[in-house]
Amino acid sequence: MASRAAQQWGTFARVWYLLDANQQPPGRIAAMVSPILQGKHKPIYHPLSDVGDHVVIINTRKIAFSGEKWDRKIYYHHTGYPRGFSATKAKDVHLIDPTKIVHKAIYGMLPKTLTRRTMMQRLHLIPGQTIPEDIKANIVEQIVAPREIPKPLDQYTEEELENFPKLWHPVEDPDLR
Amino acid sequence: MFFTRFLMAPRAPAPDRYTRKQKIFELSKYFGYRRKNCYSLAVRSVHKALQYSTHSKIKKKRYMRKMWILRLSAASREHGLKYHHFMQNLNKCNILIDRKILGQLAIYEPKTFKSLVEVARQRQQEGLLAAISPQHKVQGVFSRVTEQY
Repeated sequence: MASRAAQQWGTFARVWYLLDANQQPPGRIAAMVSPILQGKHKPIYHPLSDVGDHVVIINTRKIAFSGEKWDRKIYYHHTGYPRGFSATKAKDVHLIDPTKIVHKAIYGMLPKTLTRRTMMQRLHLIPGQTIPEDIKANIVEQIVAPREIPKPLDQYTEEELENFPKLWHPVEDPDLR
Repeated sequence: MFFTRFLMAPRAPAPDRYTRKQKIFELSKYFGYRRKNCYSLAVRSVHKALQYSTHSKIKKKRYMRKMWILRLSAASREHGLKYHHFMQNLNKCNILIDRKILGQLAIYEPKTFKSLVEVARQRQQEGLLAAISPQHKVQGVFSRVTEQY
């Protein structure tokens, strides 16, 4: 009978995923990443057994809040000392540290247990495009980003622009002028 | 003769203080700090521990089922089906394997589990086709009506 060692290695291996956060909403990224960090995507899941995977998120500087959240969303913090209360807008937080918004979003979506910090250690946030070599060597698979990035107008070819269905055709009528 | 008690020996003497306290200390051996040594603290902790033990026996069944459902949700999503679609279509095919065994199949027999997911998916497609085009009377293999005994 063949050995099941390979199957066991494959089942219990810790996988490294990559996610591109370019033009993605940070909340939806967090909702996608938090079950992977917990290990809820595996049939061997148990909250006490440490089965979460690593996730590397690149381009966190390019995240896109919808609506007016850059101005309206406020992050509150109290240091515990007197006069230690601060309320900072999302855009200011993003300027100070471009990974902080994604970090806070994911931290809030993980279960509030003692294993949360361990899961956050398996999250790697990179503001830009360049991944460190030792992390890059580990990455196995890329996760599909939640939001489909709309194509900008200048990237459409002339054929596509002509063939695109039109609501109305402009009429050349000299009397209208 | 019903009241045989009066024929028996006189009532056994009530246990002394040491024996009474030992009954509690036997159960509090693994507690922390003074709750394992001092009777007033130990008796309260032991009573609470026994309450937790009885409640947990009832709740364990609920927690285990939740765990099975979580695992099946993960396993079926690996194959592209959501948990509720998987279970619903498996039930429609009269496959009555319970969640505990399905979870064990998903872990230890992945190919068997994959074939079960394929059965559920095929049944789902047949159901959708029948709903969309009832006039064509599509007769699927898995959705053919079977006798239930």
